[in-house]
Amino acid sequence: MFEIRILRRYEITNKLKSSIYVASFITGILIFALIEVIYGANPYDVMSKLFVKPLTSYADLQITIRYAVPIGIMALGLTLTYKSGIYSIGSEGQMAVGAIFAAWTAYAFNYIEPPTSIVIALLAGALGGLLWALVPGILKGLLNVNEVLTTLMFNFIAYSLTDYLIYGPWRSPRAYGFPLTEPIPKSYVILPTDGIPVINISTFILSVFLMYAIIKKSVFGYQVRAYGSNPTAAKSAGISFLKVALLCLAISGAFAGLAGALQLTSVHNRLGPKSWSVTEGLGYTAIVSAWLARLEPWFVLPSAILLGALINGGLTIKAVLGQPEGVVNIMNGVILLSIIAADFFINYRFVIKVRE
Amino acid sequence: MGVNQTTFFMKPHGDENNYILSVTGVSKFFGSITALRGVDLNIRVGEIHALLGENGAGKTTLVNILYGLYRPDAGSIKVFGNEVRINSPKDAISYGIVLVQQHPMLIDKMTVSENLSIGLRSLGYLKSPNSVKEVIKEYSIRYGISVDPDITVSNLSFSERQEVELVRALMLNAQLLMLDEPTTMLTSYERKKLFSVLRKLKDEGKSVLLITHKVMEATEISDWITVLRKGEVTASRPTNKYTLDELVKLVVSDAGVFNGVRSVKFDYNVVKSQSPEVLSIKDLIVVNDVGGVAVRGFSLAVKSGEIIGIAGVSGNGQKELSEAIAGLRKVVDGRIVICGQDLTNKGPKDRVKAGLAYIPEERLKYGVVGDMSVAENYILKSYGQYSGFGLINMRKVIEDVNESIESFNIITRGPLEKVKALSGGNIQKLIVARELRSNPKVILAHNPTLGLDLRSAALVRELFLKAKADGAGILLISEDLDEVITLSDKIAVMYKGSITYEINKNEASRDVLERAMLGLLNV
Amino acid sequence: MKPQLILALVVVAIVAGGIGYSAGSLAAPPPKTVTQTVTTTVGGATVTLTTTVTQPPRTVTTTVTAPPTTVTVTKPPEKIKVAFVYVGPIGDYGWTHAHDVGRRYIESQFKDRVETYYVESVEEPKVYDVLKKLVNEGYKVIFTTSFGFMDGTLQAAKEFPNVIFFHCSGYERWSNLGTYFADLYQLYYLNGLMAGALTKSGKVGYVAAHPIPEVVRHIDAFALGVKEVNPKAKVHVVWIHAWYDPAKARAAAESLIAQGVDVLAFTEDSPAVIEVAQEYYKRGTPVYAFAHYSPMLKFGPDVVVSGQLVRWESIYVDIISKIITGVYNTTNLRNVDYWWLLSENAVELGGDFGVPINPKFITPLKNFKVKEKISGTEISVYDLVMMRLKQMSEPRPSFDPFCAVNEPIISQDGKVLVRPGECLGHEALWSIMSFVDNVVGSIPAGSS
Repeated sequence: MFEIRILRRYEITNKLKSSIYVASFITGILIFALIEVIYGANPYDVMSKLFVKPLTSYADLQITIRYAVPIGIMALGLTLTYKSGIYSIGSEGQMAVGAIFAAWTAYAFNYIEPPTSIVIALLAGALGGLLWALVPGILKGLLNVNEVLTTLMFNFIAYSLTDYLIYGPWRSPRAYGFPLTEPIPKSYVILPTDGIPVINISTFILSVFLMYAIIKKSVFGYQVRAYGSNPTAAKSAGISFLKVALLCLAISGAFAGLAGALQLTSVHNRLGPKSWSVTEGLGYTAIVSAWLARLEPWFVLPSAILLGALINGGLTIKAVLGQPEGVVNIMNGVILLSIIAADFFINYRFVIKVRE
Repeated sequence: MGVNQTTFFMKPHGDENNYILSVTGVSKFFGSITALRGVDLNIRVGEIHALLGENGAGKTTLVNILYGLYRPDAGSIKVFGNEVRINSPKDAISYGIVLVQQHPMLIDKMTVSENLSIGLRSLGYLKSPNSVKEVIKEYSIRYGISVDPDITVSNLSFSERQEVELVRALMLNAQLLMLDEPTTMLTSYERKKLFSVLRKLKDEGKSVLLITHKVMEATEISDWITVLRKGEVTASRPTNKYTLDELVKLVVSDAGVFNGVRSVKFDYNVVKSQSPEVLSIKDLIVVNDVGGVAVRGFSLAVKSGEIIGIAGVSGNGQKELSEAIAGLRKVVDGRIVICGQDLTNKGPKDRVKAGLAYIPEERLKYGVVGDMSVAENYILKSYGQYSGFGLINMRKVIEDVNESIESFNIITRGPLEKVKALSGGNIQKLIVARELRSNPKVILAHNPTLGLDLRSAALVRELFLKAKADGAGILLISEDLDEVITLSDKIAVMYKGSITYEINKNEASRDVLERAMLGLLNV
Repeated sequence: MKPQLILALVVVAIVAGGIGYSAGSLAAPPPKTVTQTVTTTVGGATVTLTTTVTQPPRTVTTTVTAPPTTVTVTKPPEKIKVAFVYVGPIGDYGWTHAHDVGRRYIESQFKDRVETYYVESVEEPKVYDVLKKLVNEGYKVIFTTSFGFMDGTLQAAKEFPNVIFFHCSGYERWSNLGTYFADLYQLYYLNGLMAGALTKSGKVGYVAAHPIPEVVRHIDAFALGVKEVNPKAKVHVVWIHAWYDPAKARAAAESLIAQGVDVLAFTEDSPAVIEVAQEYYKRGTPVYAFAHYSPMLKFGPDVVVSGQLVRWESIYVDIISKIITGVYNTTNLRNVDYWWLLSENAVELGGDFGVPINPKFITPLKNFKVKEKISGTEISVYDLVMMRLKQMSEPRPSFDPFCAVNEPIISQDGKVLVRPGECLGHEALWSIMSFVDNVVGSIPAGSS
């Protein structure tokens, strides 16, 4: 008789840990390949188009980057707030307001030339996101109002603010009455250098370094970590909750606003209605990215790229393989679940016993 | 699943001197650190066996191996002479080996019987809350355990929770009960009660492995003592074959340093009457978490160079008092003045600035951030000193931490190890090192040596005396009467939220204080 | 398994995939052009397209003595790969479904010349990425069928000058990007005539989607129809700020009925409004309604009077024919803008195809007599509707609701929108953002 037992692991090496993650990811891909076989597709064809092409075709890689960069930048901001024990889901709204601020800058200072114009647009976006996050921050810090609710509400208010502008004062006279703003001036449009979105990629990488420094090296990051893992001890050491709440939300807001400004200047170039807005719901995807990265700034790099690749893969499934939306959801589900399932194998081990 | 333990114990074979558990040559390494090396341990049926050693000697590692939480790198474990592999607590339980957890995992909002019912069910022992009640009633008669099965766990004291855990172990048919530092949080009365239960268990033929760092405790209750030092067994023989001095030397690795608490040579110069008051508390009223008045009209002054001890049975407002002084609990009425500054309504930060050091009672909750490293915890109150341009100079921190690790003899794998991996005594040493390094003017210490081994406790006390000599005023809230008597210049007894009795050091005796603590004496 | 082994497996997999991919993407032979005749039937009319393309002379230089030769090759033509990008699922039974009917129609009509493909439920901001992938897969003609696809389609058109793009309902064009739209305002006007005749309370309701020119234009046309037969009746508008939201549409319809409205028209992609009307009818309070976009007669057989239907296939057949014949190429689409109406057979009156007016309502409409505004003769509303339908279906329509005949068309705020003898042109209709004077309600600015 065989007996399989699931036992808790009390010690694990980093090497084993990382190989469990890699193995889980590959298992996810293999399970998805199996599902494709059942679906009736040629798994070799599917796998090469989904996982090989993005690495060999530059045009395909670009699509991944276009989503990975904003997701990653926002996830970095969330990493900080989540470490402090504050569960903001407001990146979406902060991103939208970041785009509004960047757009305003572009319309108001249309005479400024690049690169100054780009820099001020990005900074304005960061400022916008920061201000938008400040209200939930103050409510949390002073009155301990649940930030999950306030940040979610502020997302909707941000959508409404965008709607107000595109249906009202910012509605372009040349859009035949459609709810659109004017395209931002050319001097504010970020163009790729030789086909490579250099500014976007370097902003992302700089953000990783910056967030790493904030969390791991700075006094504030120290306070945040102390607060997040033991609020009582942090309080008795005199760390101010108001400061932690306010700054965490402000910084994550600034990162989200920066992402919004970046998407406006490099991808969308104007504001429009919610369904085709600058945010595209990426503010919510960033939450997944932050947790997938285990709240470690370095790991946001691969997690954001993975999520960007999944969005890209979803488009490939529909546009290239001609498979329905459902298959996209299966792919996302299978691969993300496999990675999350790795935690189980990190915490537990299987023992097979043979008994007479 | 599993072996039916009853039948298992009915037919012991390969009996070697009737050992219920026999450990031979067990070693365990964590990277380059040796936790255990070649440890032998033999426990007989119907024996109370003490495993004695300092913090960090490897006692807890050994227990974790016996309970299937760690796997040994070498050596064998036999139960009644049969070699076994213990891969999980479930395995251990199936062999009749049960660990009575130091911090029982109980669901606060459920009753005792519901908790036990759930806990047993998850292990495959189906018991309804009603049948649990029956069992508890039976045990209360048999062993003198007095838990009310219908009471909600949140209303239980620490010792009552421990009793619940003991009941759970017995319901699992434990033949060998392992207790890891069970008396750490107990008052002397509660400790006596626990020991009487253990003796009754022994009379019924069950075995007990008592893990402790307290020499006196080991000699008081055990039949056999095995001494563990730095991961190795230094002696193992019947209790009556040791002398006290010999035991102390066996336990403490560097016996020369240790001279006993009372012999520390310091000036007990009487506090000069003109010494400034560093802490003054006037008519303080504080409420507890459920809104009851915990501190009522408490007044006290601590002068520079003075130690004032507050004795009392726990639960008489000491916790709320210390939290109020530290700035963690709102004051309803009254004043708290530190070094001349009225800080009644200020936060902890201002109090730290004014020169207050706080050594809290629940060190894991208030004292340290378990998920952060030793170094990061070391600077919890002084990170400002290590920062420049908003960044923390980790190199300098580590230099200082290493110094403290050495001078305070903190046993750790290094400054980057997470604090939660340290033993309780070493965490306390770290907190004391942190709190005292900035030469505070006022030290508020609540049960500062609780759970510390002899040498660490002596070190902490020595440091208090040194701080006193340097002019600090110390408010020592402690349930350890000997400690209060030894260290304090003046002793106040706290009963039901206020000071009911005061006595000078020279006049204090244990007997008088114990009566005062029970509210039998008034000023 | 050891991590090194896993890593090795991944590397092997990637390398194998890469080789396979490169092998698969070796270039296909270049297309050849040929003599070809295409005959197709569009909405009853037969279109014959004939193209003859001769390959340019080919000089052979290997043999000195050989004279230059001209070669004409006739072989089966390459199929044009045509893709459609939809905003919703093809099963939505509304907008996307109507476009997909058009796609299937051209697939069957041009079997030998085109192969079609569609991508459904594409989020609007992601259209550019989808277009990139489609171009990469070799699609040469791509239709994008949502207004929100406009910017992405323009960007793709600029980036891929060798591909023909057509965008539905937008206004941005490029040398290889044309636009097309089939508008329903004439039908709304005809519905308005019937609504004006059927209302007893003098209150007609309109459940409106988003405050954009398309919807405003339809409300105005509807109101002009109502006014023509019933000058005292008012059109009450409620905005629901959604293209598809049955719950909101239902609530809006019920609130209008509560205000005394007894005839309803709407712009929303579900039959919710019709279902409400049918429920009221069953309860003994007749409320009538006009179907929108797809055949909804079956959802309210007792209450659907008529409605608006679309035939995208008319436009698709025209575009594809002109691409096959070379009329349209990647350089001359800058001014190609389809604005197709009744006369092009792109839209149809009725609650279902072939049923312009629910027979149940023919008698009451025949009994309601009005004075025709141009000739001044008395005529039944039924005959008026049929006359107007005929006038607007002529190749050169002799009537348009936005032409003011004897009296000016006045806007809500009292301004003259159209002076007598003048008409609103395509440009003006395309961007109209004011209500005519018998509309009750306002166009919200700054909310959605």
